[in-house]
Amino acid sequence: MIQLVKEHFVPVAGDDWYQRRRQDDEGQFFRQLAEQGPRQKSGDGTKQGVYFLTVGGKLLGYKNGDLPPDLMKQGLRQALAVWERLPQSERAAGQIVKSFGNSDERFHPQPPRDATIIDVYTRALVRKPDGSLTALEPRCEEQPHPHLPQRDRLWLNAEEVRSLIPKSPAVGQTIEMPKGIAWRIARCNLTDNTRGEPPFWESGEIETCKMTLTVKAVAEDAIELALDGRVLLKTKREDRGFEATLAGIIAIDRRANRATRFDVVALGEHWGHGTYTPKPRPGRSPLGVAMRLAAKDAPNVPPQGWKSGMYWQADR
Amino acid sequence: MKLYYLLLLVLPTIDFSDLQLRTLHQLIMPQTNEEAWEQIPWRTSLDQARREAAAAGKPLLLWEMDGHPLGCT
Repeated sequence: MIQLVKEHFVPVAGDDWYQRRRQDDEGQFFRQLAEQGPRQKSGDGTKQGVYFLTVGGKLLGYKNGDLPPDLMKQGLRQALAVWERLPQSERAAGQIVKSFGNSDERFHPQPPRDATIIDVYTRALVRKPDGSLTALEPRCEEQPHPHLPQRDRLWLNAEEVRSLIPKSPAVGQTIEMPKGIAWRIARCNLTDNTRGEPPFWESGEIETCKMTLTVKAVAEDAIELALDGRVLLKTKREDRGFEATLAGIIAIDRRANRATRFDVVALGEHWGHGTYTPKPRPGRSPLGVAMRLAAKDAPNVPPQGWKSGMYWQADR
Repeated sequence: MKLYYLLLLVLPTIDFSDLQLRTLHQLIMPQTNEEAWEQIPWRTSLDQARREAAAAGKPLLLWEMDGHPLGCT
């Protein structure tokens, strides 16, 4: 299937939450595309799925986004068959299409200039009889919980990265993680998103959020910090929560105010579920979160938490 | 009774050594066999993808989910 896509299509991925709301040419293009398929009756609701289309916006086929590979392959072949029946003039290489033009910035999030971009992965873990942790076995009837890690992002702007460094740093010195960053991590990234889009933690659901940074090494142009922390996040009814310990190493280029290393883990127990994350494991279960710097050529994917409206003021 | 409540307040702590940190980090991160779908060269700009497809004479595959397919979905 991968080969089929690479050879015959230009693949592009996006977040329907933004795409269907955009009030610009791209949003209009997408809505007109969706109107040609099964999502035409969705109104303002979701238009998610896999669309096969021409550059002019003609729908060649549609599939739900969570199909098994054999059905998706079938969809690819069906779309290609429709494509092959189009006049050559619509399929010829070397065409030029006009760019969409101005973007509706409300629904086209971009990282700040000089941002530090961090990949965040969350995985449901299981404790073995000897007490050690391991990943879940692949999903099956006996083990229905998704076993793959979920992905997300964390954005820090340059000023925030600078704020991680003590004023006159010395080895052994410890400072509190700036509240805005600690709360953003807690509210947006310390969530159980392994089964879908998670609810973010409300301010009142942060019972404990303590993160410190200790200077491990310092030079004029670089600094290395050890992160230690613990969080207790839970709803008022205590029907959902996450209790975890954090640890990690953050290294910063002091001239560029950009992180050069951001290896952080959070390990704890999660319980409960949100609207779009049903069927949790019973009781409290081990959940691990790992963070690392995104590759320089990583695709531009905004943090899920950006939709919350509180991303840059998570401590308020 | 006071000691009981004090114990309730003690959160579980894990003292990570460097090795434990690295091991746990590797356990959570995607493994090689979990990233096959990343072999597909996903674009994230529909605008740019359209221009590429027009130049190449190819159709587009547009994967839209609630939650970005390359992120949290």
